[in-house]
Amino acid sequence: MRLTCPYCGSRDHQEFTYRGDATAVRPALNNTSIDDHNAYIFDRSNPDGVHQELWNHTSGCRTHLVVERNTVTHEVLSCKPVGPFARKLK
Amino acid sequence: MSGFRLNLRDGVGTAIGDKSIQFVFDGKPYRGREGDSLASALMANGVSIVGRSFKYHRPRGIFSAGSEEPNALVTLHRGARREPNIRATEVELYDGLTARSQNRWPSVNFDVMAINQLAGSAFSAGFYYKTFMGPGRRGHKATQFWWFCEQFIRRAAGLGRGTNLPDPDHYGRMNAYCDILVVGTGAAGLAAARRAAAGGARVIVCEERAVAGGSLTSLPDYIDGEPARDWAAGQRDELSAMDNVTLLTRTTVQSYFDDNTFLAIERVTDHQARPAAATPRQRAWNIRARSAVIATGALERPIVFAGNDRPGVMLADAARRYAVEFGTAPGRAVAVFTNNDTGWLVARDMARAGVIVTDIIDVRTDVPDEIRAISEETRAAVSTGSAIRSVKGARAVSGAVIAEYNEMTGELGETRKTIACDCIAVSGGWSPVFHLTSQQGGKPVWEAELQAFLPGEPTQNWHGAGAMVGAFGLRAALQSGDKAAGAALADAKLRKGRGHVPKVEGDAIDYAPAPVFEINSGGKSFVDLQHDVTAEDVRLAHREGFVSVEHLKRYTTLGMATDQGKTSNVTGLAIMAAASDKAIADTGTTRFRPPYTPVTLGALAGEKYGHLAAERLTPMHDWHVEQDAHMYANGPWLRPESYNLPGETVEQAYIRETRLVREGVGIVDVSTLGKIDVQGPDAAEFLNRIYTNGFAKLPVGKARYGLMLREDGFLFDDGTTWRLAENRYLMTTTTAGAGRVMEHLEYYRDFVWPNLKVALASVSDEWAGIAVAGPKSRAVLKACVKGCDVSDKGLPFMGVRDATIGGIEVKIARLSFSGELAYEVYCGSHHGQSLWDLLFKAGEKHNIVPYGLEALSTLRIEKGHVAGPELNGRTTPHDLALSGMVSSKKNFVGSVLLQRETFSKADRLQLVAVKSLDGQRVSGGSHLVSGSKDNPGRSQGHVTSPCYSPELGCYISLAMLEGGSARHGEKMFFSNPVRNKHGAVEVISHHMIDPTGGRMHG
Amino acid sequence: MVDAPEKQSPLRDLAMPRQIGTEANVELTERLCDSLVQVQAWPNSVGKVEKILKTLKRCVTMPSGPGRWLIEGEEEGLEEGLRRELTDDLGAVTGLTHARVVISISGPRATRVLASGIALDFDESNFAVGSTQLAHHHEIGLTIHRLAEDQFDLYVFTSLSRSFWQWIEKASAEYGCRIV
Repeated sequence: MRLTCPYCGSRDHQEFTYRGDATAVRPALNNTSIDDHNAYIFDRSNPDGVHQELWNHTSGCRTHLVVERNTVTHEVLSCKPVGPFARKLK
Repeated sequence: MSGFRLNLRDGVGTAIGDKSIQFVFDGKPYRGREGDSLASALMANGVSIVGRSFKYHRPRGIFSAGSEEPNALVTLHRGARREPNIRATEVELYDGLTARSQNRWPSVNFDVMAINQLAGSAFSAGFYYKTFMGPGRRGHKATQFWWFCEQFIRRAAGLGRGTNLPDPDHYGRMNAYCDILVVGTGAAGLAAARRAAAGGARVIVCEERAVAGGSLTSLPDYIDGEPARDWAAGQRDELSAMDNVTLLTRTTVQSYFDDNTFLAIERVTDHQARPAAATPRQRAWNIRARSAVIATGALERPIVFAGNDRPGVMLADAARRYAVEFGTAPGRAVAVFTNNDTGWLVARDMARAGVIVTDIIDVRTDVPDEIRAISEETRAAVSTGSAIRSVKGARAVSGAVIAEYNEMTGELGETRKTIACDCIAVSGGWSPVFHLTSQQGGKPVWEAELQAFLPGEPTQNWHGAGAMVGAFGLRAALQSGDKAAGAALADAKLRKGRGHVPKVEGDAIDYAPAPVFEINSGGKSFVDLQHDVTAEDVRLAHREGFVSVEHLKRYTTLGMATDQGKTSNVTGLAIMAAASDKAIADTGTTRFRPPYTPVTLGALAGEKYGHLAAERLTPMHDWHVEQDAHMYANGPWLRPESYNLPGETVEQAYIRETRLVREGVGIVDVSTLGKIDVQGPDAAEFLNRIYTNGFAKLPVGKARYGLMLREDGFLFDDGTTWRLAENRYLMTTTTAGAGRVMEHLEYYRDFVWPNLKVALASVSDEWAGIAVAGPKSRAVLKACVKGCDVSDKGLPFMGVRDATIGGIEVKIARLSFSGELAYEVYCGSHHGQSLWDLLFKAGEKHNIVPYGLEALSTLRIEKGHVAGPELNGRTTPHDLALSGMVSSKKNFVGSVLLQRETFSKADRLQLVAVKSLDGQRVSGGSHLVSGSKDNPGRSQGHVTSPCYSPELGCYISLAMLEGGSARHGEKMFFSNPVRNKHGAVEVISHHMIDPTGGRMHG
Repeated sequence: MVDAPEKQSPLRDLAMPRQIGTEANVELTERLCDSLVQVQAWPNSVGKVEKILKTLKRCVTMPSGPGRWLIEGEEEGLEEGLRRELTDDLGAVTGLTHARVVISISGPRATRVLASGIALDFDESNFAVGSTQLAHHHEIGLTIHRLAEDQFDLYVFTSLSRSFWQWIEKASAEYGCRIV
């Protein structure tokens, strides 16, 4: 599998680290609901098809990216930068 | 079969050179010629039996001329280089080559295990399942019976044996990128490569054989006015000369991965008698291609008939290759058995090369006139509407019985005649090689007109060309290669240019065979030669309900083993389809998995063989090694375990080192700690959110010990963080945790709180770290430090100061892991050894002792400091008596889920220490129990960090014990059934020395 | 005030000048940096930081991530100098002088040696002369600066530099190599 790092370009997936479901958003810092945190950490869907994944280009520029990928065909539909520089990288 | 060398002349022996080559097979010396394969050389020497079959130990001969070979598997070389199951058809001969036949004892010509043939019916499909996996017999469970029998069965059945010795060869790797990868260099592949190269694409062309050309090397046709093989050679030379083309021969594209990534294995020196030492034996090419042209051709399949595994029965096209390319007759009298026109052409080409073709037997009655005319040139007797009923000869073919055959009913009629022949060249039609595209998920489609599976719709950027997509014949192949390259150029966003198809003069024939796969005459007829699967086995599997192709494969083992059924899969499916009264199209196929042919494991390990992981070394590494320190692998790091004096054990050494630190002063290399530079206007806020304790109010010039949790409330890592300036911190992490802590921080900085201005940089390699510990540590520093008052007032506990030592800029932090007065001194790592020498020199008059990982660990265990064994991902701060480090005034990573009810249960495993009451060493990994050795009772906890404590004068360990904080003073046992250890211990507080901290604060 | 001792390279014993094989299609050498720093700008200060970096003299500035640069200076003290100009509101300066060893490789087979261990397209259409790529050899991260068609500086983590050198020397040996 090849992923396109928004900074370094097309690279082998071995350079990247999977960081989990990109749709799981951490509750705000002042949110102390155990249920909300529980959902963020443990509740995951396991889609048969298109999935949003968070990856980090660990062996390169260490940029985080959201990869839209089909879990059935393995097709990578898009790689979008996230993080402080996301807007600059688009 | 008794093959022999033909008179070499123009067009006969095109691959063969003049040089004579000596080789050894089964201990006997032979001579071959330059350009021979091991198979052709054996054939030329009249060797007919080259191995024994997998299950029945039947004699087997050479069946093909390529990588599809099921029979002629040999073991090459001796000793550490011994390599089993190598296809003799692929081995290029060189001087001194040694090969042995396999699966025979004592010899290939007389094999004791051939007795299995007599018990043939007992070893039918599913034999092992039925015998061993069913209900037990006579009080024995079937699995026990299997264990007993396995050793004998494994010896009797099987292929060659490898070696247990380390591989003395080395292997290379290459990362390659191209616009277009062309797999195969037959007519289609060369046409595609030409066009792709002319279009300016970066092209990689891979050919499995030593010479490019595919079938062109043995066909009599002309292309653009030259013999096909000369045209191929010209194309090869032109391509090789182009800057944008990499032409790789002896290179098999093994695997087709996602996103057009391929693995190819190049056999760099396997064909050389004396390869250069620096050259890798094989090279694994990782190829990323924008587009690919798959021109892998087709493999001929046999017709299955009784006795079809006798040495002498071989594929027709292979027989032609041996005659034309290798100048070797596969027999003295060759009969051709076919269901299609190509068999007739083979007969003609062999006859032209000087081979005597006695008979052409065709199952069809309706053979085109121009094809019949061919037989006149061969002078062979022709039997149409006929088939082979059986084969004569016990150890090799000596003749065949020909009978009438009804193509429509598949039934044999009257016997027509018995012929004498020592080779039967069989053609049962052509099966396109779509292994690569099938690996990629392409679903093959049955094409009834061609009687072949075709690769189906592309799932990636690939285009099939030539026989692989059913474009049989040179003209069609060249056209489809050219067209596929045009499409591939478009994929790579390059101009397609104009195609060009060279002119072909030669045979224009129909490649489609009659739909005849098996002549069922009741005798033993083999579908899968390598795994000894007969047509009857396939029908038996069907009768027993294994009707899906996947079940068929696993039950009969059809298509397994090293050849993966290259010559048997389609026939097996056809027989299954017939048995179940279904069309082949409805029977389906199994999906191919990588690799295409067997791969040497060394080639996959590549340059990492013998050097599995990179080693991380501290700047003082050489010094430790010079002191004969035991170097210990701590993750990727190598660290000194202890500095043993002559005659000392590791335990004696660490006890001595620990004692000397507590009494005087010691020095230890702590450069391996993870170090992260955290900077920015929001650095303080960021750390406050990451750590359980507060960091925002930490004054500049101070360090603080911090705990990090995972979001689920469990401890993640710990370490001290130093505030170097208002917006600048130096965070230290555990040695093992450095990488994951960095990723953890980056995740929160980038994904969770992207608005915080925080810069993170790994500085683990920037700083060498040296800890000086013990009551005399201050005196040591005082003797060498400039620019900083190291007194308690000038450098208080947890203080951080800049200074110099011998001109080297250092940072000194007064931190203690040992519980003693101690300092950590950091400097730029290229000065690490110099600083170590300076500190060591300053400590000499205080008898400074270097100490290793074991003493470092003993010191912290005695002090009750936690480390990796306690921070094991299953403990919370409360479990480790660190609740005081958890702020209740702020929210941080893990603060919410740490409040889960389960974490406050009184019976959670809690940190304690145990001390041995009977003088036994507390065995690592032991459970804590209440019962005796014979009846220990349930586990109530476990020991985590054991050692001998010089301070307490006994063996101790940190431990995790149910409700442990309330159980100090309790007598228990440690129990380690695996090591057969059991001993009495007392539960004590983990603060084993200096609980008030007077020493380190002093 | 005593002068600091010479910096010691972890490769001091490995990278001894010699010839491996008969030809010299690859040339290897190593050096330590006088100054090496990483600069990280904030998202809203990239332009300003770039302006400051353009004023640097006798420095090689290599982009190493979004708003991030690795800068090698020919003199000591680059970190302190930069920190004076590049204040906290503009970005962060991290000293890495000791964190990397530079291994230089050149010669007609240099790209082939690199490609044998590094998954990077070295074609100039992807990796132009004068540009920088971040890559890795297995677990060893690398910053690669292309000085010419067949000349590269590799910035290798100090603690891993020996392992990397052992690999690159062996990989170069296939083609004939001179260590200078």
